[in-house]
Amino acid sequence: MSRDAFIGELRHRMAGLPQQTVERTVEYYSELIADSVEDGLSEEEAVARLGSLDEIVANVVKDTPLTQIVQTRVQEKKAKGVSGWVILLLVLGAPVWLPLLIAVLAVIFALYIALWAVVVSLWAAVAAVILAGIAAIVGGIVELCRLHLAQGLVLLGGGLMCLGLCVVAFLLMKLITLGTVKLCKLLWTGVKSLFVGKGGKKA
Amino acid sequence: MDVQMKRGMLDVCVLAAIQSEDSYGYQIIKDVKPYVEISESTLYPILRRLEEGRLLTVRSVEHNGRLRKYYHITDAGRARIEEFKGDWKEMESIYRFIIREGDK
Repeated sequence: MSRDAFIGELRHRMAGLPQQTVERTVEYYSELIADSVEDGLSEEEAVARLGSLDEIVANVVKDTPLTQIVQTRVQEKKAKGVSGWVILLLVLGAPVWLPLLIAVLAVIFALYIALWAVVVSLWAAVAAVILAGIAAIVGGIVELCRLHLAQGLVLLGGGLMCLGLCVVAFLLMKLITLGTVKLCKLLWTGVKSLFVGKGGKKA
Repeated sequence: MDVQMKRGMLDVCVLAAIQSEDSYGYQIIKDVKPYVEISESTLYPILRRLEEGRLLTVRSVEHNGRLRKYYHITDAGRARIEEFKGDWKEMESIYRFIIREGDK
């Protein structure tokens, strides 16, 4: 392959990458070819030594952040512009898609609230049992001091059982809370990808 | 060899190639190739990475009616080489320990 053919093909394969990256890469490889030729190689040999175009382009793409690629793509789309028909359809369809969108968002929001309401109420239950346990123990000690042996022991025993249960419940609740946080994150990514997908199709 | 390790080594090799005097792409490959496997397409991202990390600077010099990019090592680049030498000493003592324990 000649130098010009190689550079042309390289440019073609890098379409969609930032302009600056393309120019820098072309400069780098042009210089290498020129230096090889100066060193006594033929143009074809110099190009052959650079390796496969696939590998070259793959290396450049790997080094370019995804955000930059997306930015370039968006700018390309902007340059092309959104057609009048799409805008017209969006405006005319607003009575249909706007309430639907609001409904979907409301459902997601409600799910989110409901999920956390369950978690909060469970924590409240645990707190209530802890309080009951402490109260029973205090009551038990008071009863024992008043020499009501049977009542005192029952209260003391009940209180200790409550606190014991709470230790187990606390560990369970920690798991449940962490699980809920994870679930919410999943839900959130789901919502985001919903918008990304739509945005992609519209543009 | 471990990929991460090889990557770090290549960075230092390229820095070493421009240590005593500024050099350009073709010459760097020529200098490094006898010792480490390096190709034109692997050198490119290394140079970019080193430039971004300010371990080297680039300047264009007119040569035979065209521009050639010369790479110049910075103080941070020299420090990176020294750091590698220090790491190597540590590795060597670990290596000696491994060999010695194996012989027991």
